[in-house]
Amino acid sequence: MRASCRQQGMPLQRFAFVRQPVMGKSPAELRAYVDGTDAITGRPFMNEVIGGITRQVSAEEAAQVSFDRSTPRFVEPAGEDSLQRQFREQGWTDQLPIVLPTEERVAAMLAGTSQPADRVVGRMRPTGTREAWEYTVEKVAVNAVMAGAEPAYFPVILALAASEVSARHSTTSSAAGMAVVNGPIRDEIGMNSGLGALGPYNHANAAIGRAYGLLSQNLQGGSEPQVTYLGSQGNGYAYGSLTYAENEEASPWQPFHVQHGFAPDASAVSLFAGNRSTSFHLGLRQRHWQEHVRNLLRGMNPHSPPTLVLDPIAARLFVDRGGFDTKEKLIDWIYDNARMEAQVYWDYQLVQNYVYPRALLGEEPYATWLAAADDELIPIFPHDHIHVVVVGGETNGYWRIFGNSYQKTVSIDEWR
Amino acid sequence: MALHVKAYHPMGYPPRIESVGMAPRPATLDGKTVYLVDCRFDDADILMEQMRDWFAEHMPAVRTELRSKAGVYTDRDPDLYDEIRAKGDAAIVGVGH
Repeated sequence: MRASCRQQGMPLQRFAFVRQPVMGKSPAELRAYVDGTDAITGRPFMNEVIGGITRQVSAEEAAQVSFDRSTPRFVEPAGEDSLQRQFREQGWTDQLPIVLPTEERVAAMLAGTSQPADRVVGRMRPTGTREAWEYTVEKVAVNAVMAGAEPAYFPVILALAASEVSARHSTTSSAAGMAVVNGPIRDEIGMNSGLGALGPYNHANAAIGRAYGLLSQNLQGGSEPQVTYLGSQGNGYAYGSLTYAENEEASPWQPFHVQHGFAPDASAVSLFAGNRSTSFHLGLRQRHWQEHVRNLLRGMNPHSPPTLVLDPIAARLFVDRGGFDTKEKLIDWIYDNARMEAQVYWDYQLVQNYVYPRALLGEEPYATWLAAADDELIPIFPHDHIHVVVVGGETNGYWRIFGNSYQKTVSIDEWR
Repeated sequence: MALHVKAYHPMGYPPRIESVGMAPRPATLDGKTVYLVDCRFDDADILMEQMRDWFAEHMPAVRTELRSKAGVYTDRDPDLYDEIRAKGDAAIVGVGH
């Protein structure tokens, strides 16, 4: 809280804190919070509130000043072990050893792109309420080296940085990113779209995914617990940010980047944020496959829409069982079949937090859903929030649904 | 590798901070209007209702106005902020995190 206010220019903002959680507590329990003590100071809560309002403002608090913050280009030279420790203790790593970004290594990484080292790539922030930090091609190269990436991977890593979508988003819900690569660069740099593509079995997938995480936390100004990271449980997906290539060759459908406006021979990476939930399934049984899929969809949180990640065997099963000869037809079916009673939908906590206020402002389709009768079956997910990706090595017809939010697809070729 | 390694700093460039001076404070809240703002995070509306009741019981000379902010908690609500500036003497804003 203090750090957020500081970057908004209110470093001395006054606070009082009730205990957590507020969510789910009865009015009587919350009244006890109000009558109780401040969770930080231990003094009576309402005394802290009244004092914050009526205590006269000091000269320091009233001052309107501005100040620069800067980041040095280099750290102080030191021995390798000392630097490894410094990088870890400063929160610049994922707590595992990194490749130290020396001048020679960063120069080699910069040779992986035609772009000048001082070109501004973008701005990134850990949450919408914090300030965006800026970064150059050189700064991205530093983080790519740290992740163990090869220079050939650098255009993909630059594209990830240019997306301005953080893989280290700070939310109490412990989200992780997902990055799906399409186009010729997949083969050029040896990315895996087949067996084990989402696991630790391919250097390009692993290093690019690690680089995405490291560049996010460092270039956005940190991912520090209690300050710029508040994920209550954390998320194992954040180690590699679910980075893989789509299996275009074995897919019965159009590649993901082509669905989003890119030519088939273009290379692009698509970003999905908010990965928390995963469900899985094997095959599609002839008799009850539709009910099985509906059950999976009903089990998801309505604020975390489905991205179906299908092994090619499962993708072809959807074609065979449902006649879905395009991804769009499968998405239509998902939209039509993911439904629940309006009164149940609107009672979800995340729907109350994030959807209900938008419905009140008239935003569609939520406003229409809000007008539905309590027992009316309404869609759980907006149509354009549902996505399909094909990946896997065809050892079996397993498939998964990731709950996440598609953000954008960005060019990799621009960064070659 | 050399005994002393020269390594790049991995962090990006933060923006300049423009500090906002805090508003003058009333010496007392008696006869003043205090806005209680629910930011729509979790069940903060119920918490703010309890604060409204606390004022009614313990500081009845204070007028309270309970408002739920328009939009989700990360959005600004300029209309509400204008109303508070025009009609309020102070605001207590319930934020989630």
